[in-house]
Formats: sequence, C-alpha cells, structure tokens
Amino acid sequence: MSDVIVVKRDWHGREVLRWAGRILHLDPEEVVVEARFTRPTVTLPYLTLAHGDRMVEHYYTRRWYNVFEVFAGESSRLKGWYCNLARPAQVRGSVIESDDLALDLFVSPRGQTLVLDEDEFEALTIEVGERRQVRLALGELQQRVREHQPPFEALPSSASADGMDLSPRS
Amino acid sequence: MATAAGVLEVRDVWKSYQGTPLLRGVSFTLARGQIACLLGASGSGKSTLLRIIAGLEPAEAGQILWEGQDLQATPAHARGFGLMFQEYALFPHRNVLENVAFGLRMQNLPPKEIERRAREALARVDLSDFASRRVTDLSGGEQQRVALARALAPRPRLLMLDEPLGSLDRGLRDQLLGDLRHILSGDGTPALYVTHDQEEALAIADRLMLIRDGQIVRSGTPADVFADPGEAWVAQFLSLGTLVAARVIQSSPLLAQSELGILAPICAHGRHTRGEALTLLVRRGPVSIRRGSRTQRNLVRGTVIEVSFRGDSYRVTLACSAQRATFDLPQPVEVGMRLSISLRAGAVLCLT
Repeated sequence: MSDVIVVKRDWHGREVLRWAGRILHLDPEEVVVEARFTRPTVTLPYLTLAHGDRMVEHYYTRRWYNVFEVFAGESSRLKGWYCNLARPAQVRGSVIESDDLALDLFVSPRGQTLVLDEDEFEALTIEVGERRQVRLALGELQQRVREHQPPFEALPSSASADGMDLSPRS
Repeated sequence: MATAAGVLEVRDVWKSYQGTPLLRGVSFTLARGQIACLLGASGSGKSTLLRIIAGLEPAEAGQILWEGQDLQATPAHARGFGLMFQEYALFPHRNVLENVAFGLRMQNLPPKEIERRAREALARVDLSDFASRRVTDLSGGEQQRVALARALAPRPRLLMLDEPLGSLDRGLRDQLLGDLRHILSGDGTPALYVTHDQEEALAIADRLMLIRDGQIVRSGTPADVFADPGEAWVAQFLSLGTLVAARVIQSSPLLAQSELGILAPICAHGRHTRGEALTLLVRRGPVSIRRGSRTQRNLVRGTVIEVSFRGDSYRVTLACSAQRATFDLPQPVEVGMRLSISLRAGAVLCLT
C-alpha cells in the first residue's frame, strides 16, 4: 500500500537514479520515505554508506533541499544526515521527483557540518535566482542544525554545530 | 453530490495492470464517523483501491470525491488523509512522544500546542506513561498503538488502515482489535480499514464490503452480511458453513433434496419451482445430536471423520455420502461414530 518510487534527477531534469521506498509520513509540505541503500558500499571520508543501510528520506514540497537520515543497517544507530540541495520535490501519484543541484551538506550525529561539492554547484549553469535560493536554503539548513529544528531534533543538546573536526575516524 | 451523510464517495473506479483488470467499477460511499472495512483475499484489488483513494495511483476511470469535490487534481500529500500500515513505520531514534508529534511539526503550531496534541493522541491509545520511552523498547502491540496515535494526531479527515494488525500474533490482535474499535468510534474520524481477515473485519466494521476480483460483491453491516451472505462465494469466504448443491422437491414451503438429506432452507429470493437447482448454506451451528435415526427434514446423518477442539466447541466433520459437512458441537465425539445432527430452523439458507 505504501510503496513509492523516488526519482533523482539532475539540474536539467534528466533522470539519474530511481529507487523504491515506502511512505512513513505524508502531509502537504513533507513526504517521508523509508528506503534501503541498495548500491554497493560507498566509503566517504565522513560517512560510510553501507549496502542495506536504512535511509529515512525527507522530501519537502516548498523547500530547496531534501534530507536523508542514515541509519546503520537494521539498527537505530544514526550515522548522520545527508542533505541534498535540490529544487522543491514534486509528488505525482506514487512518484517523488527531486532535481538535485549538486551542493550537499553532511551533518554528523554530533551536529558537525560539512558543505560538499561547492565547486560542482558553482559549475552548474542555473539561473541566478535558483542559485540564490540554494544559498538561502543552505543557510536555513545550517540554522536548523544549530537550533536542532526538524528534522535534526535528535542532535544531542551538547552538540556543536560548527563546521569543525570531521577528519576520518580510524 | 455526496449522499446526505457521505463524506467520501468512490464512484465507478476502474483500474487494470498490464491488461489484467484489478478494479472493475467499484462504487461506495463512506459516512462521517463510519468505519468501513474492505475485506478480500490477496489479489482482490483492495490495496489498489486504497492507493487510488489515497492518491498514490491514478484510476483509469471513475472518481474519488470528498464532500462532493473531485480529488483528481489533489496529490496524495495534500488530501489530508492519515495512513497506517501493517509494518509500524516508526522513527526508531525518536521517542514515543516525538513519533506522535511528527505529523504536527509542519502545521505551524506553537511547540506547546504540538506537545499538547501529541499527548492527547497518546492518551487516546492509552500510552500516556510511555511518552519518553524509546520506540525500540516497546512491544509490537505498543508500537502499533504509537503508530495509530501518530496517524490520529494531525486530525486527518479520513484514516486509512491497510492490514494494520497483520504482523501481530492472534492474542495481541484480538486485544488490539477491541482497543482499535473503541478508539476509532470515539474519535469520529471516518476510517477505511483493509484486511483479509474475516474475524478482524467483523469485529471492527460498521460496514463491511467484500471485494472479489476487483468488484464489491456484498456490502452491509457485519450482522446483515452474516445473516444473508447472498452469494456462495461470500458464504465460503466468511467461512459460514458448508455449501451444498440441492434440487427443489417442493416449492411452498420450500424443500430441497441434497446429499445431506432433505433440507428446508430459508429463502429471500422468492419462489422456486420444482426441479430447480439451488446452492444452500448449512451453518455450523447451533445444532444438536439426535439419538433416533428416523429420516426427517434438516436432519443430517453421517460418519465423523475429523474432530478439532475450538475452545468453546468441537468442530466436527461428517462424511455423508459424497458430501462433507462441518458442524460445531458443544460436546466431544469420536472419529468413526455415526451421528444424526438436527439443524435448527434458519440453519439452512438459500444462496444465489
């Protein structure tokens, strides 16, 4: 009953990837989808996305980003939040479409943030208005992290929100 | 226009998948405060229908109306319907209260009001003391109640439940069924409940709708449907008793000859003519065992071939010529015994 398809597109609106998930929540401004990371494990300096990790993906119909909460496998251990700056999500029937605009923000479980792929974002030939929207959205996300606003309520109260030490843990 | 009290109207909905029809002209209305239950086997089209009403899938033909207004242009997330599924999709890292408050966060309410409403919803499912517990520490039944509170908290205008108790064991399910019925009827939110389980449907519904091969084949209060299933498939699906073929030997009062002997069925369809073929439902009870072997109407004679204990009765299968019949007896009998079972008036029903 709750199955949906998420379609990730690039800034041209060309499909990049699609995956299946199920709806956890549905309201006029936010759709929350649960999905599994089904691709081979990806190791990034700040996060390992393992095959089978549980993703709780928040799509917003009026905001210029989406936020993936990443959990280790079946457990409730939070690995962090992966935020994709994107055009507001479009929901059509059981398909959720999101145009990714390259810029990302990673938030660690302790609230440390890291802005990713700025160069790629700068290289996009998008309109000035959109570029401004994305910058504003990034600022809004960072503020939400600092204030533990949804979907970052799970941040510990002692968390520091400064973009600081994110060096790989050994 | 919706009918006087109807809030949701499903009008002649059709849907197929790769050329196979899934829904074939489904229509019904749901009244304010009503709990309607769609009951059908897997593959009957009930979940597809729910997805269409939710806006997750388009219908090929037909309309979904809310208070008379067509929802075709309203996407799923803007319909204001609450959803609850079999797998209690809770947020594992949030506590109980945070889970329940989740759907309220986007409603631009002050934090105090969000908490007040979330606590109110928790109280309705009788979990007030669990507010700060981790959801992963709760039992399956408790998790399911949290899921219900989460669906109710934003005050949806319609609550849709798809096999919500499907993953729970029988004892817990029975207990939660009573709770669910109590909560839903107290809440006043109309609810559409989908299940394949007859007992669950009978216990929860104000109105039962049996769906088969994409069509609603029988609709009514559980008591009405139980009293008159209408067609043979419904009687069989609801497991109301034994179906038996018979031939009319007398039209008034109606008597029919069958492998179970001469039966005197109740019939709501008008007169039948001599020699006409009928399908009869012989209910499992209440029946009594007769010592005598005198042939008479509504007396079934046969050999016990199977006995199973049912808690408050013994389910007994009799072999009578080429036909088997099942009855619920208040006392145990032994396999191999010859029995004469007397059926009460009304135990035999004429089906279409």
